[in-house]
Amino acid sequence: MTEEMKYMEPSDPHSPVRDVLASGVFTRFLGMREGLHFEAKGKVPYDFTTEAGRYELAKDVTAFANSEGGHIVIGLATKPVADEKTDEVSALEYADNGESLKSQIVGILKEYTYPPVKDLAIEYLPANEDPKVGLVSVYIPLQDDDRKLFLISKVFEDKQEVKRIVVGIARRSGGSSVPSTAQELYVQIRDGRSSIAQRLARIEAKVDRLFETGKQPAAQRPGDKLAQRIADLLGGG
Amino acid sequence: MDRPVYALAAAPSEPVVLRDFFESGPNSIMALLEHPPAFRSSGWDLSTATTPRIAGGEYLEAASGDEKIVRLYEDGTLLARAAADTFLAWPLSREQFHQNPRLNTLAIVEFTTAFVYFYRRLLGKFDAPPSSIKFQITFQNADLGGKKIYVRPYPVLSTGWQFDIEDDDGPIEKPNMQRDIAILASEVAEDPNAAAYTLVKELFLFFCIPPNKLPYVKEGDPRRVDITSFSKR
Repeated sequence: MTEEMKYMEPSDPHSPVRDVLASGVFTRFLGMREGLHFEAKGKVPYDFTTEAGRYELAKDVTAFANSEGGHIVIGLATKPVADEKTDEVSALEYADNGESLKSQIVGILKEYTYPPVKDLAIEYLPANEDPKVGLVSVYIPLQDDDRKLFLISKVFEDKQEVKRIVVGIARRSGGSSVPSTAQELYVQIRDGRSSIAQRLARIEAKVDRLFETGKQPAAQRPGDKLAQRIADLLGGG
Repeated sequence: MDRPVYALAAAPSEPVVLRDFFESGPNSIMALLEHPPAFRSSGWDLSTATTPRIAGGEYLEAASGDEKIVRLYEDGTLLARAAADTFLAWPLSREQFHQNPRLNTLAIVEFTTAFVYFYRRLLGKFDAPPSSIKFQITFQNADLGGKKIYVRPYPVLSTGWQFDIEDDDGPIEKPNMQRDIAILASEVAEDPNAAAYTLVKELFLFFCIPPNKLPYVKEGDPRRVDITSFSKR
């Protein structure tokens, strides 16, 4: 008898980070790994003096909002771990301008994201050992599906703002915030999130296959087409 | 220079059809593609964090940019392509990988095993049960300007993986390699870790690594991939 997969999400995926923040014992972050619900950022996580830095913040926040929510905690240095496709917290690297960082984040998100993330909570948490420094926590709660997708309303390519009418969509994938490619955006916009457009695509696919079946003298085994399909895949087609 | 990629394919031996292939909903094939089986969070599996799309009126596709692409056809053909120089090279950057093209052994074993587990989930969705599955593993463009992609046959973070103690790094034999493997559908369904081992064994043979030296494998008869060893946390 084979072993089944044992991986299960905790019942409240936000609780591990929330518990450490509430405890005030921030050394408990050491060794904690980033994931779908947690992103650690160093002392100077985003260069808010540049448009590209503001875009990065908007990308991270909307990626959580488009997924299952989560925490971005500023003031934690990270390093990649080899046995998981993510980073882990390697040191405390407290922010020394927490209050001002908080208000900057609020302003940037207002300008760079749409619609506003509901119940977004940004907190400055001073370190026990030195209240002049601390962590900044940005908590993005799980959002209603009706409000998704959250958009980045200013998009940058190669550090230059794209001047066309354009928005970006990012989601969490493991421990990363992944912006959608133009092709993925196109499909999401074209197909919508449900109903008629998707049904039409399915009907179209079925009709195509009916015509295809009618043309074939005998049933083909899937393996017969494998070589061509792999060639298409490898060729990027 | 073309990007090095690792690809997996699987197709039933008989002409069969996945039921309700283009439907959506909680238990649909579309949902399986959107939330594929995973052994843990942030591991190497087939998830792309995107909504699958119907492509060309012919197949479903989910993709994380160029890093990972998964395609599924109504006749049960499943394809997955992963970039070897980023996704399977972690934690190396693309630039670092081109200097020292070592694959992450956990990444290639876990990704291959996740592929088998995905196929296992498909088996219950065919209109008639296939008797066997033809798998195919492919490496392409594995020579980076004279530097061959290689594996060091140890679990990541082990001493052997960090230091080339026994001088047993395995460079890939040829830049483009492909192997077909037929596995009974019953084995995929009932013993996916043994089925995954069969693929992993062939994969490491590309790198001239003998089966008795494979990491993340549990000894026994048959040998199996040890999925409990993927996460040490």
